[in-house]
Amino acid sequence: MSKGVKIVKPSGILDGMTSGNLRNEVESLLASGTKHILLDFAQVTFMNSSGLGALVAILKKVRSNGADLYICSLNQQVKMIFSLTKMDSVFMICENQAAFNKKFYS
Amino acid sequence: MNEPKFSSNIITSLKPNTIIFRYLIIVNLIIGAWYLQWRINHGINWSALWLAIPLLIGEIYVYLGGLMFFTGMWRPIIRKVKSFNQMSPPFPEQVWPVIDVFITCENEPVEMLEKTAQAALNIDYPQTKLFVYLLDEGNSPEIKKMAEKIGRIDLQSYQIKAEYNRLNYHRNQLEKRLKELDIYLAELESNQQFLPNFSLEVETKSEEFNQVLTWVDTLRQPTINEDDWCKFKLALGEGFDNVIKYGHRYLSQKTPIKIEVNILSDYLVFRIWDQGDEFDLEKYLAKMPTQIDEMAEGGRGFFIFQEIADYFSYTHYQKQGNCLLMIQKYRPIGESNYALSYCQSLRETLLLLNSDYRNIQDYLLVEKAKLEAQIAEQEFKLTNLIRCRYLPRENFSRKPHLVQTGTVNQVIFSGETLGDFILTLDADHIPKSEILQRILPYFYQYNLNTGNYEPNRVAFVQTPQVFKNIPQGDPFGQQAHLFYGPIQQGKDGLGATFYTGTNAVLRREALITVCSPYFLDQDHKNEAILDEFNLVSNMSSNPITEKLNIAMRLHSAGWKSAYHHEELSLGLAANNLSSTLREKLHWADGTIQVWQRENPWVKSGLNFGQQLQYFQTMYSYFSGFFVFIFIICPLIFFFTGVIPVQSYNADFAIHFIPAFLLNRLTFIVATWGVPAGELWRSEQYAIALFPVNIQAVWTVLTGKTINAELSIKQIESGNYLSLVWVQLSLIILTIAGFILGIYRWLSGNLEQPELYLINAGWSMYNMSLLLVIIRAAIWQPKSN
Repeated sequence: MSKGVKIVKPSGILDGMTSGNLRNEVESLLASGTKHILLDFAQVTFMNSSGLGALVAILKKVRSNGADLYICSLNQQVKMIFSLTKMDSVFMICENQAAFNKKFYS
Repeated sequence: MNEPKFSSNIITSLKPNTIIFRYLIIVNLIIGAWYLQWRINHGINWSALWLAIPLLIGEIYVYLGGLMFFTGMWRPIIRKVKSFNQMSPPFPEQVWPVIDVFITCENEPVEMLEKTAQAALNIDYPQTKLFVYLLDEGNSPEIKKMAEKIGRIDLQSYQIKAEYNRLNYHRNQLEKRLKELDIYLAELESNQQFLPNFSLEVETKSEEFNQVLTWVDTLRQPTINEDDWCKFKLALGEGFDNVIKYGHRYLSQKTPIKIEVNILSDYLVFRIWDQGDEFDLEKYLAKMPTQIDEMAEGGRGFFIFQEIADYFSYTHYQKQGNCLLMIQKYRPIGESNYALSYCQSLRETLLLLNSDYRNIQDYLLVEKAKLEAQIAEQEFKLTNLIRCRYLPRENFSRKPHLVQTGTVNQVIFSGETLGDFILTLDADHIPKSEILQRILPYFYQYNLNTGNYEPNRVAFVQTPQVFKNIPQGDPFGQQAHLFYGPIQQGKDGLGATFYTGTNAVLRREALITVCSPYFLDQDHKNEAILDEFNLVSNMSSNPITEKLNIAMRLHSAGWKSAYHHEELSLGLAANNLSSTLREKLHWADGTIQVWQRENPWVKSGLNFGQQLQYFQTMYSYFSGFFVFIFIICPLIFFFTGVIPVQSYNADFAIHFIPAFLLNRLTFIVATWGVPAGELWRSEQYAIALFPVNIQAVWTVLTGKTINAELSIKQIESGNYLSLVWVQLSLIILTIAGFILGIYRWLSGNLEQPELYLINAGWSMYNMSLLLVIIRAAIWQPKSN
C-alpha cells in the first residue's frame, strides 16, 4: 500500500495469552519502520479485559515509535467491551477495511 | 462608593435635589455649632448647674444626633429595576433560583395567617420553585392544620397535580413489588423445587474458553437480545480469566473449572466453581479505585464485571470450593409487561438458588434495599411537591445549641429548607404577586463573557413596610414613610440598608457564610466557639437583635444590600397601644443589645458610612434621658422659678431661633415627599416614647433581661392609660403649673411674666408631643 499501512489479522480469542503473538507481530512491524498499522479483528471471536489490556500496551508501544494504530471489523462482543470500558474513545476504530481505506486515503 | 454593581437592568441614581439638601445640611450644622458654642460660653446658668449642665448635655446630644441623622442621608439613592421576567437579555426560567418564603407567626389569628400564606403561594413564580414555610413560634395546632389544608388545596392545582399523579403511580408500582418480594421471602424456606441447570467442566487452560463459548452459545434463547447475550459472555469470560490468572495460578492445569448456567425468563445466571484459596472479594472491591486510568494495561476485569452484573457474590464452600455467582437481568424480546414478569422471574431465581441459602438471602436483601430506596426517593419527591409547610418551634429547636437563636437562623441551619433565596414575611404582611419579580433582579449580574446571569454580592434587598388598615389620623404612628423612604434610601446610599425582618429577600449563601461561625460547632468539639456561640445566641433572644445582627454581620463580611422603594406587600397594623409599645420596646432593647455586644465602631469590615448608620440608630435610643430633661425644664421653672440658661433674652433668641429654624428647614427638605402629618406623628412618638427608651437602655445597661412581653400582656387586659402613666403625670403637672401661674398672675404675684410665657410655650410644645400617646391610649375603633 502506498502510504505504508501494514495490516495484522489476529484470530480466535484475544486474551492475556494469545495477545503475546499479536504484540510480537506489531513490534516486528515497528522495527521495520512501519508507521501505520491496522489491526483487522474480523477473525477475532472474543476478547476479554486481559486482551484489552494487551491492546493498550501495544498502543503505547506504537505511539512511542511515532506510529499510528487503527482497529477495524469488531464483532459485537468486542465492541461491547470497548464501549463498557470507554476505550472506544482511546483507539481509532473503523467499521471495516473499506471504511478505513476511505478515511485513511481521502 | 460602596454600591453594588448591578447590570443595566437596574438603574441607580441620586435623589433629585440632593445638592440643595446637602448645602442645607452644611449650613445647618455650622449654625448649630455656632449656637452650641454660644450656649457653652455665654448661656450657662452658673447658679443652677444641677439643671444647666444636664440641659446643655442634652442639647449637645441632640446636635450630634442631628449631625449623624443628616449625614446619614447625605447620599439618598433611588433604584429603577426591570422585572425578573423582563430583564434583557432574558434570564431563562429553567435556571431561576428556588425560593423559600418564611412566614414567622406567633399566636396570630389563623384566618389572617391563611391569607398571607395563600398570597405567598400565589406569588408570580414557577410553582415548582416556590415553597412557603410557616415558622410557628407558638406550636399552635390550628396553624398546623391550616398549613396542611392549604398545602392540600395547592396540590390540586393543575400543574402540580399532574406531577403528583405521575410520582404516585410510580411509587405504588414499586410498593407492589416490595410486597410481593416479602411474600416470596416468606415462602422461600418451604419451597424445595429446583430448576434444571446446564453445566460444563473444563481444565485450567485459557484456550479451553473457546469450548466454553461454543457451549454457552448453544444455550441461548430466542428471547435474549444480542446485547444482553454479549454482556453475559463478557462477564463469563472475565470470571473464567480470573480463575486462570489468579484462582488457579499455582495449581496444575488438570484442575477442573466447573461452569453452571441458568437461563430464566428474564435473568441470566452463571456460577464458576474454582479450587483456589479463599478470597475476600468484598474487601478487594472496596479498595478498588472507582476510576481506571485509560492507559492502564490491567485492572478492568472487575470493573467490567460490576458494570454487567446486577448481583454477584464470591463464596467459599468447604467441599465444592469457591463459587463466583453472577445474576444479570435482561429484558426479554417480545415481553411487554415488565412489572408482571418481575415476580415470576423472581420466583424462578429463588427456586434456582434454593440450594444455596446464603446467596438467596443476600440477593433478596439487596433487591429489597434497592426497592425501598426507590420508594423513599419517590416519597421524597412527593413530599417535595407540597408547597405549604409547617415548621413548629419544637422542630427547629431540636438541636439544643440552636434553641436560643433567632427563628430565621434556626430554620436555615436545621437543614429542612433548601431555597437559594428567602423571602421573609411577618404573619400579617400579605405579599403582592409581583414581589419576587421585582426583587430578584438585584441578586444577579450579567456576565458578558459567559453570556449568563451570575450571582453577585448582594445579600439582601429590603422593601417598605406598609399598612392598609391604619385608622384615621394614625393614632399609633405606624405609617413609616419616613423610615421606608428618605432614611432607608440614605442608608442604602451608604451601603447600610437595614433589614427589618419582613418584606425582604435574603440570599441563603450569604446567611450561611456569615452566620456559620456562630453555628459551626455541631460536634461541640471546640469549647471556645461554643462559649462564644452561647453568648451570641443568648444575646440574640430578641428577634430585633437577630435582624440587626444579620444585616450588620453581612455588611461587615463584605456583602452588599439594597433598598427597593416599592410597596410590595400590605400589612395589617395591630392598632392597639400595647402592641405599639411592645414593638418599640423590642426595637429599643434589641438595638442597644447589639450595640453592647457588637459595637459597630470596632467591628472589622464595616466602612465609615456603615459604622455611622449603625451607631446612629443605637445612639438615638439614648434620647429618652434627654427628652426627660427637656420636658422637665419648664416644669421646674413653674414650681421653683429656676431656669437652666442665663436668661431668655434677645441674645439667646438671636442664637437659638436661626439654629432652630434651619434645623426644621433641613428636616423638611430631607423628608420631602413624606406627608407633614406623618412627620409630625413620628416626631411626637420619638418624644412621647421616652420612658420606653429609658427603660430599654436601663435594663440592658444594668444587665437585666427585659420582660416587656409579660408586663405589657398583663396590663393589656386593663386600661391602656396605666401604660402611659409617666406621660400622663407630666401633662397633669404641666396643667398644674399653668393653673399656678394664672393664679399668681391674677393675685398679682407673677414677677417675670415674659419668662413665664416662654416656659408656657415650651411646655405647650412638649404637651402637644406627649398628647399623642394619651390619645392612643384612649383610642377606640369606630364601630360600623
